[in-house]
Amino acid sequence: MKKEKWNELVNCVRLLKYGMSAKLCLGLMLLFVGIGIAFEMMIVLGAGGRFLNRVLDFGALFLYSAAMYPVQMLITLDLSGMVQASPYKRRIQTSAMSLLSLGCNLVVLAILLLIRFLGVCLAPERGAWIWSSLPAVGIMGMALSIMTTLMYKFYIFSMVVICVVCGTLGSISAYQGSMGITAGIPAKVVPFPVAAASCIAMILLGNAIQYLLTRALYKRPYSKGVFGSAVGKKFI
Amino acid sequence: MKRKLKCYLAYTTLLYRIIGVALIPCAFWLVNVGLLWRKYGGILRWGEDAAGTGISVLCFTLSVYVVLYEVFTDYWVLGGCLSDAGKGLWYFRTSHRGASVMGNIVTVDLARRFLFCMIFAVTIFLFSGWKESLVMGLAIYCVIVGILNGSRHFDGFQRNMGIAFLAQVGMTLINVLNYILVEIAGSAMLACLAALYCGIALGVSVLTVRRITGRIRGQKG
Repeated sequence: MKKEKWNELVNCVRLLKYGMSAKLCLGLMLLFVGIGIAFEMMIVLGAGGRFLNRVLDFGALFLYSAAMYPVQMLITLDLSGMVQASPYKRRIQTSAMSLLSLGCNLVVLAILLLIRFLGVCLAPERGAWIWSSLPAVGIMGMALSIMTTLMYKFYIFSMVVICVVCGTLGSISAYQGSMGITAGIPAKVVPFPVAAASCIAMILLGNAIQYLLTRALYKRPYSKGVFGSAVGKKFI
Repeated sequence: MKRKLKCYLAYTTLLYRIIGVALIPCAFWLVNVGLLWRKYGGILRWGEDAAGTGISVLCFTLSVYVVLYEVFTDYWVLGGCLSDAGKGLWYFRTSHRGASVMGNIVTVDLARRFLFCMIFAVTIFLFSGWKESLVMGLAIYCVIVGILNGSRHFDGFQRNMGIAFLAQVGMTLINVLNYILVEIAGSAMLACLAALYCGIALGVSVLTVRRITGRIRGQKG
């Protein structure tokens, strides 16, 4: 990438602090990171990683949700008239958004790997089982990256999709719990290099799809309902 | 009641009523009945040791989803109505009957939420005979309405989504607390919790209606 283009991207990311309710978003992000790490430690380190059999890894969900906040702050810049009139607009909505999302997702992945590494150190006999959950975490990261893009363009559709997906995962989890389906060593244990590589590949793929979607949907305006009346309050 | 329903139907969009009020809740109830049928094989088949193992996990997981769903989709209808900008509420201030119309809308909305929670709880009770589910239904309603009183101050999808995720953690903690209390003190505690949640549910419902109508009348809520 040319240095000039790189600098432009960095400038876009620097504009984050001017996003809508930046302090509140930052606070929520830190709260989500805290809750995510706490959940993750409970799931991975508690009972030697036996809680990892759940359908949804809540720790990873909260951590990836935290990673969505900087991207959302960047999106809200679009409300500003100055950004609308600026040549940076396209870059903010496409490459800067995907780059920021990729960076945040990789930081989350590093945290998840670190906690899992601790889990393996504490319970080496369940190491393969703990690493085996990584591809599912990668899929979650990929899905959330794609959803972030779609959410602001197709608000109601995304809301319904989130409700249906959460409901389906919740029902499967409830079924497993009520029937007493507990964790055992899975039939197919994924070795660490394969698990880590597939997880990273999912994240990269998610962000690549996100970038393509942002390019494809660039001309479509953001859904009006998403920003609410804050549109009038903050950026006149 | 007819007037109240009329107000609600006029305020909410058809798409919301089809998806948010009918389709997703009905699908949820069907899934719930399906799961319970699979576990118990039919209704009212409970004897002395009714619920059996795993019912608490099933209820807790689904209750967390109910809270997520209700808080998440509220942004579609009444999201941000308590914020300073007051999404949609300025319109009601132009009429003398604005506050009463809004009161009607919120009342029907609360009744709908109460029905959604209680049908879920009663279904579980009918299949499993697990009395705690009824208390859990009331607790879910209290948590939802309590959180909506806070989340409606935030007018923006991203913050609403954050609150919806955090609400799940709150519901989980309340479920665990209820479970522990009932395990320790038994039926007496169950009756106390039921009375407590009934009181809270009534209180938060009245408070919710008053705060929103108060906003329209120009009082600080």
